[in-house]
Amino acid sequence: MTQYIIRRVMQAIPLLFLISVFVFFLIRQAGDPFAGRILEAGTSAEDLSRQRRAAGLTDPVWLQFIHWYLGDDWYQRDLSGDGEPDTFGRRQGILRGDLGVSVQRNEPVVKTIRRFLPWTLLLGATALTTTIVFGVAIGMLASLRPYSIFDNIVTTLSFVTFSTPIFLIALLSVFIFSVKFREWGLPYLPTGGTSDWRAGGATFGDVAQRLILPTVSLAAIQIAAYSRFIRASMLDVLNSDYIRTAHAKGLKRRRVVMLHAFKNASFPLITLVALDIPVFLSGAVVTETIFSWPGMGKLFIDSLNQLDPPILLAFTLFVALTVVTMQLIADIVYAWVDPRVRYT
Amino acid sequence: MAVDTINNAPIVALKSEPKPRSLIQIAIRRYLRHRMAVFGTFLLLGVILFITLGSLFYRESEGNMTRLRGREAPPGTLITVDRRGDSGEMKTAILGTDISGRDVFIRLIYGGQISIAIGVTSVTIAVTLGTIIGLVAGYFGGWVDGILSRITEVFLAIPALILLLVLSAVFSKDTATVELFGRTLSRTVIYIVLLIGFTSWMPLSRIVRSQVLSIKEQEYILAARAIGVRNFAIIFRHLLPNVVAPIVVAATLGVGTAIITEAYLSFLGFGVQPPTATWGNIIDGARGHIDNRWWLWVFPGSMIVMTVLAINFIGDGLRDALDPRSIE
Repeated sequence: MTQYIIRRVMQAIPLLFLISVFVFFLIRQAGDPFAGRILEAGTSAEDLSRQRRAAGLTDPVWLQFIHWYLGDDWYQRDLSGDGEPDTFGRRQGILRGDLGVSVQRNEPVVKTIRRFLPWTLLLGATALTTTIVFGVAIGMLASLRPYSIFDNIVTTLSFVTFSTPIFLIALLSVFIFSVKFREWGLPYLPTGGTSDWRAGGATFGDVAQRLILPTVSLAAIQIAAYSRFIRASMLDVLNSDYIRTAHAKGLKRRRVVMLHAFKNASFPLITLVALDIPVFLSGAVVTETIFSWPGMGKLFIDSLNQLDPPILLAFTLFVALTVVTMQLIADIVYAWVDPRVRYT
Repeated sequence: MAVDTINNAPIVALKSEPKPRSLIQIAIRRYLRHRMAVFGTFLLLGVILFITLGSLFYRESEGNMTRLRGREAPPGTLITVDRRGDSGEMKTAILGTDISGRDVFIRLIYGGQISIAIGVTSVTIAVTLGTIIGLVAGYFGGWVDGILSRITEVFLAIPALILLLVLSAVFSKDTATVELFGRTLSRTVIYIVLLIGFTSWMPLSRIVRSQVLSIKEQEYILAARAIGVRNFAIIFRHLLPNVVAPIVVAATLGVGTAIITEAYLSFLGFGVQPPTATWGNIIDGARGHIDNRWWLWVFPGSMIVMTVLAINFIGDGLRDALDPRSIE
């Protein structure tokens, strides 16, 4: 087992390196972040070229890549323009935990991310919990009476939900629970941001209220997927011999379903959750943008609009790292709970 | 199937031996028995009928024309026929107008054509790429498989939407137009097709690869190789026909996914640019105004859901119909 884990981790390292090369060139082609600067008042062409040189944009591509990895505090650039290298760089490189300085925000990317990441974690964790609770509950209920009216309604609804983009679910839920409820004089849900900007600081209630609609949008499609998955998995297990045995020896139905059947039917859920993290991340990009939720997804779209390569690089790398780690965890956990998996 | 016939009417069956059905006939019978799939087929036909018949009655330039008056007009409002309203002629905007006064009903027709065309062409690219990469990786194995699988993994590590957003950030700024099939379209249409095509081949290549890995161990492949059939011929004449079923299913479902992906990109402003309409970029006009411009998202949104739902039903039906293991 330990050997298996070590080997899987070792396999992930070259993959991560390949991904980082890919991501580096991917973001590079997005364009020159200083291209729009010339229009700003008080910026001369000389300032601009100095800024570009200081940011290392005039270095050869391979050198830029090395600097991104290892930093440039050992490398002298010619900033004065006299043809002789005079100034050391200040970056430490991603290997030393330095993600660079944001071009548009003028602050270390690490600092920016530290401000945005908690909101995404909050939204993601809430959405994931909601998904698992509702997905499992609906899937179990549907599996106990397959092809009943309830099951058929759930099947139809999940097909419709699968076919709906997240932004439509978001628009629809805002339209109903925020706009229409307000019109009808019902208690309605606020939207946008994390708190009322007029009230000053965010209270727990503020955040909780504004968390509901983004969570619904993010979780709806996943709930449909999970309930289908649990239903199929439960039906598989419920038809097996050991369940028949459990019934035959007179155990209560509740006990058989909850203990014997669900335990086995829910194993694959672990892998599903881990492999679905990228789905939540790309879902967050859309949801956070619509609800002005100050998380990583919104940061990503904003940085894409303003063209802020260091943030885009950090975000894409963060996503890829999460995906690879989650795949690794899924494999290891699966090998651990299911002894039939061969360690090869 | 023969068993069914015998059980139900043994004497008749014994008298006249039923002609054995071909695989395709069996598949068609199974498909027609799948109620959801039949419903999906009719739904999709309805959508296609709407976007083709509609274009016989309206010209695309009518849908792309902006108006000085009658912007954001709700459904049923009278709007001018020409841009400035010089002619004095008026018509009813059946589904309202957008922020620039363009007729939403006509945009729905032509936007649908673009959305579905993007779905189909990008999936064609993805299926071609995915099939070839999967076949080659699975058949040759070794270092070829190693390299191709690493590339697949790298692409899979970044969620498709994020990859697409980064890539389209540059391309969506292009305001040029291009002549295509007698229509003037925004050049972003071509970029989006290529981008979606080149970023969605990975799941299919994995499916094909795993299928090939098990098929290539069978005797008939060994026999083909023993009598000196070339690799190229083995791959395309012996392997490919046996992995067609999952490819057809994945391609069908892929069209739905591609339509949704295009809608995401256009909704976020990184997709197809005006004046060319797609269902996604019509909805973009509703952002921030979902209550007082509801017609800008309700109608194109319903079109997207209907089309993708139909495609998903059809894909589900195909999966059941083409599965050699499902015996009825």
